[in-house]
Amino acid sequence: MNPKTKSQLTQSLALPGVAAWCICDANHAFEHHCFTDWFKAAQLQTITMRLAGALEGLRKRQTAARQFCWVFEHAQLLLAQRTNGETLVLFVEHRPGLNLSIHQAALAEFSARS
Amino acid sequence: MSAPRKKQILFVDDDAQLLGLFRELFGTMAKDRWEISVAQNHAEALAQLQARKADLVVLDIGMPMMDGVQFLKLLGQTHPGLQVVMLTGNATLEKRKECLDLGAAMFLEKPTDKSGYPAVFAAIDALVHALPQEGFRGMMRQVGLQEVLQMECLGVKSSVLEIFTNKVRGRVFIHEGSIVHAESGQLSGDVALYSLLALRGGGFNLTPFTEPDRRTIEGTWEFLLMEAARLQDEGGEVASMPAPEPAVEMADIPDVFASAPRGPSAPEPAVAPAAAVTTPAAARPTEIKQTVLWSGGGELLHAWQCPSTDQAKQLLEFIEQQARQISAAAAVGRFERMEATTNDGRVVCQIQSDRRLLVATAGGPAV
Repeated sequence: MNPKTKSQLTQSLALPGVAAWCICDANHAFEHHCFTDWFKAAQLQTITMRLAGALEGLRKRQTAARQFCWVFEHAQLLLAQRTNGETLVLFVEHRPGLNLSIHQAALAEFSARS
Repeated sequence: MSAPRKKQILFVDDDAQLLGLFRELFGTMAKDRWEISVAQNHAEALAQLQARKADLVVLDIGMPMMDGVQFLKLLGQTHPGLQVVMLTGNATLEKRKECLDLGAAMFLEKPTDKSGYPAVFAAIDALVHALPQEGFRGMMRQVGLQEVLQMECLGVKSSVLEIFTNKVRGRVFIHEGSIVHAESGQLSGDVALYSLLALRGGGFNLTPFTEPDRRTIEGTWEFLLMEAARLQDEGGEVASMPAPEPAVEMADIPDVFASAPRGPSAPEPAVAPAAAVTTPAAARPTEIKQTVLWSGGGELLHAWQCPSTDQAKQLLEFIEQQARQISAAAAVGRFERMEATTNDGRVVCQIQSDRRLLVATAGGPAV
């Protein structure tokens, strides 16, 4: 990913509650950006890889979903995958009242740009 | 010993002659047990109700300006809990159903001659004397259902909380301070309780406890109310937002959820539990396609419209396994649920220490 694309992506994903984003491509190459110090780069990569793997595992169980939201006590992990295998994970703070509609729109836009 | 208080009965009818007859006949039959007042229209009736509370209102249907059905609806808002008996000379099944649905306690036909009035009197007298003799009566505005349930449970009461809106009617059964059953449409159990507690407005009545057909709720009331509050928070501030947003929108739906057969014998819930599915105002109606509930130990407790509970269980186990590894990798806290929304609907897999729940819905927010 060239620096300009990454910068644009970071700007577009600077949304309420977003702590970080991470992209993993089909070759397991990562790009990420942290808006806070909540997550370390290695954690982002581990979780993104885990979620992409889970996506694959769910497909094998006849669940052909491309997007998921994994809700944890403190974080919501929003996941979108392009048809070329690129996976975007948004690491979003989990707090009551946080409206996720713009996050969803960002994920939809990411998927649409396959 | 003091004499029992006279029952305050208000008759509302546009026929002044008939009101005179009611006063005379029923007054004689009641032998000082009733205090009868009369009103010829809704405005007079409201003024009387403001000046003096009534135990029961007997309402004619065919009145000018505001007919009895409209007035019944209005009374439901201005005087919730007030017992109303409809008395009409033009009884139809449709009118009867409409009035009873709106909360009328009884629907009686006006007698065609004096010989019919003792039967009417007996019915009204029995009803008015069956009303609770103790405790407060009155109105509480902007009181949450949670507070009402909390009061009942803290007081170790036994009662049935009837909840109604224009579209939803439900009941919560409380026995000796424990919530033992809830039902709303075709829903029952804690899902029904959560959906009722997520309602943003409506009315309620507390009635004496009657044993439900079955008991579906076992948790402590504290846990149930906390859980309901938590689910509402996570569902997008149900109580305060005019049109809650869907939590997450997804592109594809898992086949395991999409292919649920719909047998003719299986009841179809009309409204999805608001705790699990939020529906914006412009969205299509949400309809539950399948639900499966396991205990914390993995015992299947309830399955509805699920093509394969084994497959569904394997899916949840897989999700749980993945979530455990994610929790171990970073400080995200315990896993709560995984959500997926598609063009067709939404799937929620919730994993708690005491239960595992899978709900698939169709409709709702368009993607």
